Amino acid sequence: MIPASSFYVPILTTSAACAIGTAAAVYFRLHSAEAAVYALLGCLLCGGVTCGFLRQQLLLARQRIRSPEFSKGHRNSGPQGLFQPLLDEFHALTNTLQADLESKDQACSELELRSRIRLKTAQRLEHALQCVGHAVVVTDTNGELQYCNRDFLTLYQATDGDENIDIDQIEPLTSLLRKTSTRLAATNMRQTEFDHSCDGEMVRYRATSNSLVVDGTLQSIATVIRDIRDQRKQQSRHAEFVSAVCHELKTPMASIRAYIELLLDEDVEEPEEQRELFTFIETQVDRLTRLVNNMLNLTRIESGVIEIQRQDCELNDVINKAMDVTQAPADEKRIVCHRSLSGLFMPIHIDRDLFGQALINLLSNAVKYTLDEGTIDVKSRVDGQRALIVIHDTGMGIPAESLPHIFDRFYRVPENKSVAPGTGLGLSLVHYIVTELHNGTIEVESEVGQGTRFLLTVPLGHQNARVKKHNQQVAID
Amino acid sequence: MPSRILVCDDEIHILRAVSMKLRKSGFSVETCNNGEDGWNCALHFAPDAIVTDYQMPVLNGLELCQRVRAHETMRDIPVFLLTARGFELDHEEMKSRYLVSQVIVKPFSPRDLVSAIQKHLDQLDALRGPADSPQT
Repeated sequence: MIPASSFYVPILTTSAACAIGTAAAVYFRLHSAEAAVYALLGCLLCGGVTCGFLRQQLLLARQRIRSPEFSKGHRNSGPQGLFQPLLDEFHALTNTLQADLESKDQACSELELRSRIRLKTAQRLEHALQCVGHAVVVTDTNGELQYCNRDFLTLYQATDGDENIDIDQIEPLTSLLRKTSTRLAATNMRQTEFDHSCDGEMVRYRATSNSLVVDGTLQSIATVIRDIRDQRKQQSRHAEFVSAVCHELKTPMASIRAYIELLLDEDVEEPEEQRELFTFIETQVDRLTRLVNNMLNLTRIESGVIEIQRQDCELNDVINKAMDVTQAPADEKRIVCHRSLSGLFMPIHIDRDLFGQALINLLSNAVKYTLDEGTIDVKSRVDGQRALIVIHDTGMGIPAESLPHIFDRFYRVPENKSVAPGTGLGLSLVHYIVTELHNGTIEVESEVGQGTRFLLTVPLGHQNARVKKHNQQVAID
Repeated sequence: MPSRILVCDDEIHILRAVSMKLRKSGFSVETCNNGEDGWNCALHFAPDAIVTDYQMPVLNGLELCQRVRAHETMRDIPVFLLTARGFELDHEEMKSRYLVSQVIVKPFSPRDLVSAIQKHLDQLDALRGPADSPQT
């Protein structure tokens, strides 16, 4: 409330003076015009003073409003002025409004911040769902599509923005979603496998549905569909490997078992023949040992247990060292080994031990299957961006029908089995080391009775191995 | 007259061990190292029983068994299938579909094999009657 003394007094005073003056003017006019004029002048003087006074107060009030203290909420020091109460009222009102605005600003800022955070979270989630590499679809309780990522659209050959995907038409999904929603009490996660055509090929997929349940009520179902052909191939390869391993183990074991029984039953009477059987049993046990060791070696390399340690090497140096290892067995058979290596410096980035082992395996085979006084030629040269290694022997050669299988595990050329012992894993290991671990290539040419040529290439220089996998380039350091 | 047994296996030592055991047990034995040679041998040897490996080059053991079962005079003779892939083969299917008499999983006992062969021959003799039975 504005005190009466602060604002109304000068107005009332002025009004009273005007009234008295006017009354006096009227009275005196009746008796004297001069007196009336003086009264009128008096009124005007009072009015002027009052206006001047009010103007001064307004200016003072304006000055106070514009002062920094006012905006900071501090009470101005100095004369209060006529309008101070009004200013105080105004000041209180503005403070309230300002506090209100500030709190609203703060609330807006918080909302904006939360909105930005949620947007970023949503963007991250969206990015993650697009990068996950599997088809993802979210459906509501009625089985209607709520969300799907690009992989899902690609799987069902729809385009971005296509809102016409009818989940009901995708039978494996429909059945899975129905069971997931109706049999929630049993489990909130279900899985199914199905075949679906992809690029003209029937591919095996596995769909896993997870229910989102909030306060006991089903909200939505998220389904992830994975291409499991690689997994199936791996399982199949593993099963084949295990089967092949068992077969390879059982074959020598069968011979050992049979001979031992003959010896125990004294079916073999001649001491020489007995000795022969015992010797055979001993060699078969050695064969089994080599087989187990080679299998362990191969699986350890393939499974990554043996860490690949690449380093910069010079190719001819690696070749020379491998040839030094196999020189002694070659000398025993009087096999002449020629080295025709390039005079150029050929830098390669390899695991020296593993690549060296691959070369040793190839050279050992060359020695094994080359008759006495044969020859083995080893050459190296630059071939564009790669180094080429050729190992050529004058050995027994490989029949044409065996060439496609020469790198298969446990495969041994039937005609050569009796020539030298072997597990059938050596070339498989060579192939893996050269092609999978070093991005190289290996080919074989052979003719029975003429000999065999193995041609290897390996990238020159320090190049990261790149493995192409389902049209995606994956860099492997 | 001793019973004639044809043994086919590409593993020379299996061939040797089984044939030694059979000969020691009084059988007359012929050996081959693949199914095609085994079939040609069976045509002139006229075995009373065949022991064959499953996996062999040229003609495998099952294919040999099918030819034997289709032959007029040999279709009833026992055929024993040797295999290292015991768990992967359905023994019942081998018997019902290919009419293999018995599947023998490697490693096996030659002694048990001989006993099984003798048992099947005795059963065949009992079915045929005394006039047709060979003697060990």
